[in-house]
Amino acid sequence: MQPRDTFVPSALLAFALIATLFAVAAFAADHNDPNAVNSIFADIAENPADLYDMFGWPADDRSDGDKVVLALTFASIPRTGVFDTDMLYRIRIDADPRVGRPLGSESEHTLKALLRYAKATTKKYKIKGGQEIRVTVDAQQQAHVDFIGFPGGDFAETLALNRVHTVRSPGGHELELYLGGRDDAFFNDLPGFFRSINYAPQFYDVPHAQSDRRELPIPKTLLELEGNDLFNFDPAMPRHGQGVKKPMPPPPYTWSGDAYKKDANGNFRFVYSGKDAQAGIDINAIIVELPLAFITPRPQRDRIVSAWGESWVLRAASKIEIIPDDSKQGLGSWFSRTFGGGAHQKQLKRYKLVDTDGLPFADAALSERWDERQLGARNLPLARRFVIRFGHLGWGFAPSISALGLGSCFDHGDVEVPVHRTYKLAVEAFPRVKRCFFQELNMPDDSWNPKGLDIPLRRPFEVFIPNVNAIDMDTNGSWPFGRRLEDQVATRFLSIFLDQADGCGGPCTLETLGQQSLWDAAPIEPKTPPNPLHNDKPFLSEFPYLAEPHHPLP
Amino acid sequence: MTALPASRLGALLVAWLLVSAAGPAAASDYEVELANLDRALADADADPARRLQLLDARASLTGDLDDLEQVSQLVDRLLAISETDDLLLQRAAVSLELHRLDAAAAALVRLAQPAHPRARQLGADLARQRGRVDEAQREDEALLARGRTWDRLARVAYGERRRGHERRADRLYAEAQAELSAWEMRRYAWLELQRGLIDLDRRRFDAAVDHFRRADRAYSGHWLVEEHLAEALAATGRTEEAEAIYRRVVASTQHPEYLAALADLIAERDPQAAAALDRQAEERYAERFSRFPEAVAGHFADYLLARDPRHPRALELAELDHRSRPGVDATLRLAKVCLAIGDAARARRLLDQVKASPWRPRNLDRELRQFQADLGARPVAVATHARHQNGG
Repeated sequence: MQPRDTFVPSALLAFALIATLFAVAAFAADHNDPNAVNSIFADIAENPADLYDMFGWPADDRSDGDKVVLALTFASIPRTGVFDTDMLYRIRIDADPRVGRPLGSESEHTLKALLRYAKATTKKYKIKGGQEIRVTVDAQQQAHVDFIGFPGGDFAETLALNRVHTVRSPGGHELELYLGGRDDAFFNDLPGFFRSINYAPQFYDVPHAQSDRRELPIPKTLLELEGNDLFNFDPAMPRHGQGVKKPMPPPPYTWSGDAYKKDANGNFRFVYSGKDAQAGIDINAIIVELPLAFITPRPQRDRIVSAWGESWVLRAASKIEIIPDDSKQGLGSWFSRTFGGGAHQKQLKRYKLVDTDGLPFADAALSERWDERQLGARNLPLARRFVIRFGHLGWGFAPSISALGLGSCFDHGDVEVPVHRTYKLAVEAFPRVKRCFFQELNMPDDSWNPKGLDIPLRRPFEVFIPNVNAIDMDTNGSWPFGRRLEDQVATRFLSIFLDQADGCGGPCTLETLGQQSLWDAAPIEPKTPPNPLHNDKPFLSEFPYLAEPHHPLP
Repeated sequence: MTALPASRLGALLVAWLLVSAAGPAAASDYEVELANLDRALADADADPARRLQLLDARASLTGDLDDLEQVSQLVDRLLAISETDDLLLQRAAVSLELHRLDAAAAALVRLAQPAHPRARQLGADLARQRGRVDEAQREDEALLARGRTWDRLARVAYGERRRGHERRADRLYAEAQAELSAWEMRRYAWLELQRGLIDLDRRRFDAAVDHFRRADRAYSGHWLVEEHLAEALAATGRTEEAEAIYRRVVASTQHPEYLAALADLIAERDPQAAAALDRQAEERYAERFSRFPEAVAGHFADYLLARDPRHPRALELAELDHRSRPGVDATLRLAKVCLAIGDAARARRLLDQVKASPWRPRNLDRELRQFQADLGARPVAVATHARHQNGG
């Protein structure tokens, strides 16, 4: 019988081109997703590569020496407490001394100096080397945990999920580990944030491929704009953007107004609701508590522990190699158990990087979630991009901050209502954002500095570059000196646009916008801080600290 | 009732025990995905947008014309409510799959953003189906230059394969595969299938079998992979295995092409069963043609060409197919029919068009040799036929 030419080009292409993943009704819980795994898009389902948060803080109990707690959270797919066997997670760690204040004098507050700082900092974070905790899970849901690059030598453990483990390192250190399901510790009005940046996929069915329908060309704002019907709160559809989406209407997608929306009493309408969009949601997590002496041979000197998370997915070509002929069972990363040293690099080549997570909102707000900008600690090439992005955000957020009677660090001239302005060059944006980038971020009180040491307050440029959670072990780890579970980081991010020195009838702090009294006095509805003040479930006082999940564990 | 002999009863009991112990056969990836889609569809009645998305996914999985028609009708209903670029792109895509090229073109000209990459891809597909293969390839290469995504790589690879540039085609397919993750095994399998088709084109049947088996390991149970595997196995003489696979594919799809392929395979061994399968195939083709003329005409014509090139419907079908999609495959098909019915002059003209195209239908060299042989014999045959027609 002669072979037939049965090729039907478009049918066969269609066979493959349709996404095999199905949209799930839940909106994205993450604020850091690269777009390809961001389930906010109508055609992208929730995804185990979707990293949510990188928490990290010095353990409060120092009776046994300094310890650091790191918690990498991600989407609970396939379900709470069950890990995807095609995934590989990394917590990358680097310990360093606290350096002298970079760009300390005002004469150094230039774009050139900023970029030089970014370049100099790049060298610290190399693709190879550094320490990491690497996790894969096999078909029997056993976690294979590799500790790589630590001073005491590499070692590996095989651990059951969903329980606390105490592991002893070759050097005799006791490490606490938990890999499994927990309550999502991030409490946040994420829909409010997306409303503030006019992000269509949160409110409308937008496929991933439609890259021109994400942040629509409407000014960013904290206060609703008159006539911005695409995004303003609709009392007839109160859940629009909070799990409910509409079909995308036809263009245009611009705003030609010139005023804030006000109610009959002259109050502004807040884009935020203060509600916790993450309430009731579970995550999966890798949580570790490590002695500082395990991380560095010089714990007295190396007081800054930088951490960030990465998710990697097995390449299809690698998966086919481990699929037996007669059955299809994931064998996980069994091969990594029998190797050491260079085998770790070989293992990584079988995967591709999907997501990174260091700082909250560094990706969502500043990198715009583009897949190719998922560089983690290697986001230094994005330094110029941050200046441009911050400039763009400033033209929206700053006028609305000023409209509330607060001062902004962003120079918006006499512009009173947000405008949609973009920059091509960082040098054009820099004069407007300069004060924001270099101002000190005031902490709300002294609890962050329990030892009363002479630790300088952090400034935005050194917070966001590089994109890591830089935990100062001599502090309590409250953001931006780490990130504690109870930190309301979304509100603190907004506070970066305040004139910290003198924008609040005196200095502002990172908690200014979280104070109910401020909103009670403001001409705004609803009278609420933008984001919830507490998590829906209380955190635990002992390891693993994140609350029990809402759904039962396997 | 006659009791079974003890030995046979014993054998049955053992067989039952073995089957029970083995448990039910594991569902294939295809079956699981189809079942998931059908479950989701059952819940999506009240959400037209979601329903469309799911129907589209189902149609891409099954390749079934009825599934495609459901997509087409739902797209039309939604377009009547609100004409968006998303829906117009879907209208264009499904129209192309149903070989309704004018409908595809009509959708593309209405786009608010005709330069969108997806619109450009569909425009290239349309050009390709209309025989403007160079134009399509240029567009695909231009899109590839903007980003080497797996689908753009695959498009260019396909064009290269059709031009006979098999090494570049295979490299591009391999590069596309390297882009994919473990969540994309169906796409990986499809690319592996394409690599197998390169070998099939060149009659490297064992290599083709390897690719198709690998594709099946990556994503099991897909009819498209299985039927090609059966074809390649049959070509290497592994007819028993081929038959088993064809029977499975026929049971799952009822597709007339595979009924006919199975008939061909068993014809020598069991001509009666083969004839029955052939009758079923012809009935199904006729029924499908009545509902989807543009999509079925070419395949039906191929079936008739293989059975009876002078079948009264062959010319009608080949001409309809050629009008719908005047590419090199339809042109060659029409040429064969013309030759079969004695219109050698038209056959030659059409063949010249095929030879002038940069695209190579499969087995073109053998087809051309056969053509030359037939054309050489044709003058006598034409004259004889004409004599019969004239009562001579």
